[in-house]
Amino acid sequence: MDMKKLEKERIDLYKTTVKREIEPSRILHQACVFNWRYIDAGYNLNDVLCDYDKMYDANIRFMQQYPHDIYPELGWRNPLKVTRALGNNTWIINEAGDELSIQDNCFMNYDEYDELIKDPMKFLWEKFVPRKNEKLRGTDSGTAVEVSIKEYNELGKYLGRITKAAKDEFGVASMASPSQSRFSSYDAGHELIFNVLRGLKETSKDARKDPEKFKTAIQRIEEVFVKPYYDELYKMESGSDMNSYCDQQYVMLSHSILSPNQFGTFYWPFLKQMGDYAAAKDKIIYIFLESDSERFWDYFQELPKGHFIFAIELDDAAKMKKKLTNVAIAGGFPVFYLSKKSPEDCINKAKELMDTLAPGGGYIMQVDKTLAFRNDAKPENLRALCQFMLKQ
Amino acid sequence: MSLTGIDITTYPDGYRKIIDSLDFLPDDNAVREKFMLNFFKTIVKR
Repeated sequence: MDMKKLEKERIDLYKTTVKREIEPSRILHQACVFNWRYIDAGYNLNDVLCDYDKMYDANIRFMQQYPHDIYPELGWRNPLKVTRALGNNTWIINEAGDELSIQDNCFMNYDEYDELIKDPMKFLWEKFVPRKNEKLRGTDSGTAVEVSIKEYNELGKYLGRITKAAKDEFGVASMASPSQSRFSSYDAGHELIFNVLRGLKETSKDARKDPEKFKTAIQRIEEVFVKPYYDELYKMESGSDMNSYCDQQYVMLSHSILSPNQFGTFYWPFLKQMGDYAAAKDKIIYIFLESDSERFWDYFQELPKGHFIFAIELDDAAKMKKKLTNVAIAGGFPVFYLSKKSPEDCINKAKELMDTLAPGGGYIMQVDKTLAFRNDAKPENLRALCQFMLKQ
Repeated sequence: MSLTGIDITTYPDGYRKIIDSLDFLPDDNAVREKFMLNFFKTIVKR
């Protein structure tokens, strides 16, 4: 098989799907898998996440045995060697080595908002970073950074190697454009406060306690992390990168604690800016939309048509596709079919979903929850779904 | 690159020391600052 031709066909199908102008000739199938692939390959997470040869082997085997059209994550998500070099132990792997979890941490005190607002970079570097990384507290902190940067470069080499293998051996393109790679999850001020600084419980209280101060903190973070990036991006050429599926890859999680009004104040300005950019420069934005989002769909309707794809988790795919005619959707396949049902049941469910969601375009098949734990899927079920989707 | 024994815990001085040490990159301040920002964002969020 000509892998270059297959890769091009997939990229064209992806962009056609997102545009929602014509119906694509087939429905693409996108992987939504984190650590399940390592467990399925027989690895202990402590070993595989700290050994790029093992990680490479596990990802190659996953692509061989469970062929999808798109793999949004091939090893960047848990850079344990980079973070452990700094003494960051917030990720916990269980004794059996088959479960990874992260605690809801609070690394910033409420009375430090003024300091954060005054100079976000200074606060993050001098207060937050040493609290999270125990080796960055003393006079020899440079040594830890040196080791971590070496590991960061090794991670970069690994990602280059696996991305090339996906392309050359499996005809799978890069998920996002390398030219847009500075954009990342948690650039939104609300995500940074929620995921990194204050944690779920405290963030929720902060938004009610002093909404103006909370909003100012979000704006200041975005002035530092987002504005310079857009200044740069607007100078770059227009048009979607024809060597990757989308241009930017982003994750939304912190919206899960917001009411519609709060979303309008604390999050929507960030998303609107993204939409304005996508429309002005003809870009495609992929958003991994965790939790549910229906209460924000009135906002999402304002996003420019043909530039966004949401990979959904708890939302009803059919309802969302009907209401949001401006965006494409990936998701909807119930993950419990993979864990509890038979291969035939999985194929029948895929047929049912495609009958409902494929007409008119704008749909990509994907499971509705990330495969992370051993029991999230029976191998024979995922294999059957993958084979069916490739042949349809 | 060598940061052995160096205290990098202050901003902007310590942060700058890291940027100046990135000698595996071209001698271009913009390139080194961009690399450092990406590294910084990785350790902040992960």
